Amino acid sequence: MAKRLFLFGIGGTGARVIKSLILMFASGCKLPEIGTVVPILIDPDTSNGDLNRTKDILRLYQSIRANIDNPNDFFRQDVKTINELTKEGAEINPEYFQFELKDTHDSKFKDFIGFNSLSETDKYFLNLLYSDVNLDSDLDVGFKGNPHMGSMVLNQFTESDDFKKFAQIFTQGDGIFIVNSIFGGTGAAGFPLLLNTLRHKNSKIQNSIQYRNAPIGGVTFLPYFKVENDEESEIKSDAFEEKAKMALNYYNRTIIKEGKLNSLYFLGQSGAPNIYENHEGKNKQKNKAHFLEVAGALAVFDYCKDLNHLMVEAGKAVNGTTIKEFGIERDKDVITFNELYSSHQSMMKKNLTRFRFFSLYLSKGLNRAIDAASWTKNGKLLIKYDRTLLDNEFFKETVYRNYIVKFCDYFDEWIEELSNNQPSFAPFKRFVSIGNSLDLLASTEIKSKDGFKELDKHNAYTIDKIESSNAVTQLVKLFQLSTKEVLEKNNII
Amino acid sequence: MIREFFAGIYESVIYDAAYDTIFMHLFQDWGYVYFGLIFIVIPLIFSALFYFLYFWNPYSKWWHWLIWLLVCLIFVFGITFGVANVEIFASDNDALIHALSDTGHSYYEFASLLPFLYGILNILFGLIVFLLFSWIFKQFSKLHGHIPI
Repeated sequence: MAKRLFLFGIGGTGARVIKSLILMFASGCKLPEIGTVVPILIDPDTSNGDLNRTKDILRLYQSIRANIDNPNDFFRQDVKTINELTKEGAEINPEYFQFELKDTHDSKFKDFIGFNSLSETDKYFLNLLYSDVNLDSDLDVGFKGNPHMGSMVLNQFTESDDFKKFAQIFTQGDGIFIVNSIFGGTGAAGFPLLLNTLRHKNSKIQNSIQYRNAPIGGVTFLPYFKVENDEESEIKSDAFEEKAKMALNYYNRTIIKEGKLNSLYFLGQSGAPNIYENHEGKNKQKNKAHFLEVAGALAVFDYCKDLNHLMVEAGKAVNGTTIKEFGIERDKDVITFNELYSSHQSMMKKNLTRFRFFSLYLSKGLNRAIDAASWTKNGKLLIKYDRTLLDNEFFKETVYRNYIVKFCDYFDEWIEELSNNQPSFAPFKRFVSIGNSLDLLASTEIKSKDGFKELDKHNAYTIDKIESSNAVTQLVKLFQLSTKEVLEKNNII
Repeated sequence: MIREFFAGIYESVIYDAAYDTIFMHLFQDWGYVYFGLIFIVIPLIFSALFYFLYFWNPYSKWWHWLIWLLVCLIFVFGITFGVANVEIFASDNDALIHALSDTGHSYYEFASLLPFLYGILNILFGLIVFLLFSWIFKQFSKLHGHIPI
């Protein structure tokens, strides 16, 4: 059986790294050795903008992939929810990507810990640990940078039905990877708690031995952005670095020295220049994509590459915890593919450029081709079968408009946000017109050349090579091939 | 055999026994065969060019095909007109030369009409042949198989 990777994304940062990873999967990147990826989002803030955007991207990814027969390039990485693994034929529902935390909905922190029913002495004691603001905090918005609250709430993790399902399906050979940030609330608290849960014997949970001795990797984000100063907000970026130092000290004692992880990746940007709007959670917390989140996604690739060699005995990594950092070849304000380490460069340049070309074509080049290019229209009075399923009607259908176009919009938004952040990861030119649509890459100059027209010509010849029973398969497989041929022919990838 | 075939086609439409010298000349001098080759070869070339060598533009509409058809038919008419003119008026057939120069007879006036009539007739035949080749070639064309319908 192909290996599975259970990928836990804790808090907003976890959600954003998973978003980057899924968008990379769509472009044809695939985790080495891994058959199925099972993303698991942990965040009590169910209306968090980042979380919901990631869930929507996961939903679209799965819906598109479900329509492709034997995906072998774009969308080839299988992504499933735990629910789909436990129930055969389960419907695609992004809610199952998120672990449900009991009693956090519409609840204040003090209700959650039963503060009002405690004795006066206990209340005084708790008042030493938690401020009135903490106690009155609404759990629907997460822990607002307070890991000491998060550690209380997330401690009931093993009680959740979702965790029981996870334990039930986990088998030997599967791997685990955890993404968190160290300077916030949810991620900082959730990571050590989750790790403890996974590494400790639990007689109540059947099958716990399987995940206890499974290889576990993690990427922890040190501060890499700041938030605007807001007197009314509980989130203060001045405290990010101090919090990170304290948490690192704790991680060092309880995680690294104990060998609980096989690999731990640290990512951060000292003196981060980028400042985000200060939102304490909910739908307004929708941060711009950042290059370090892409680096976090690359850490997952690196971890999976070594997965077969990682050994765990009695809940401890046999070779201790390996600490890894991320590096680029050249430090520049604007990072392009050329600045990346060669193995990252070859994977990302080849795949992201093709998908970017595909996405740009759909938004800017397709209108010219509909009903005019032979791959969009079947001729009448033809003896042989219909060549194309990609006619005008298909491009009006829900599966195209509400799934493929929307997914590509998310992809383009991600590219745009990455280039607008600091450091700017801008491998592509911002503006591409039809007349110079091959001039995609920021690092190269290509004389005006209508790449979309070349794609249309290639599509006309390539479409006969595609075996497909439905239009989505034909579209995706046609473009994964024709974008490659056109870009390679013009020495772009 | 081929002469009889094309003569049969043309003479079933344009023939007048009073001007038999002209028709006999066109038959004997392979004129009908030339006319026939014109309405076959030119549409063949034009339709093949459209379906297989019109590769610089992957976006084709039915009216692109129509323009190719019209240009093809203009060529068919023009070449037929020219060949018919040469066949009839630049002939070294003494009987025909004599007939055309006989001012007491309307031979010359009738002969003057013939290049035009053969041109029109070849437009009709060329149209049919172009349609036929279009149907055949569109089966194999990657870029324009959806054209004209």
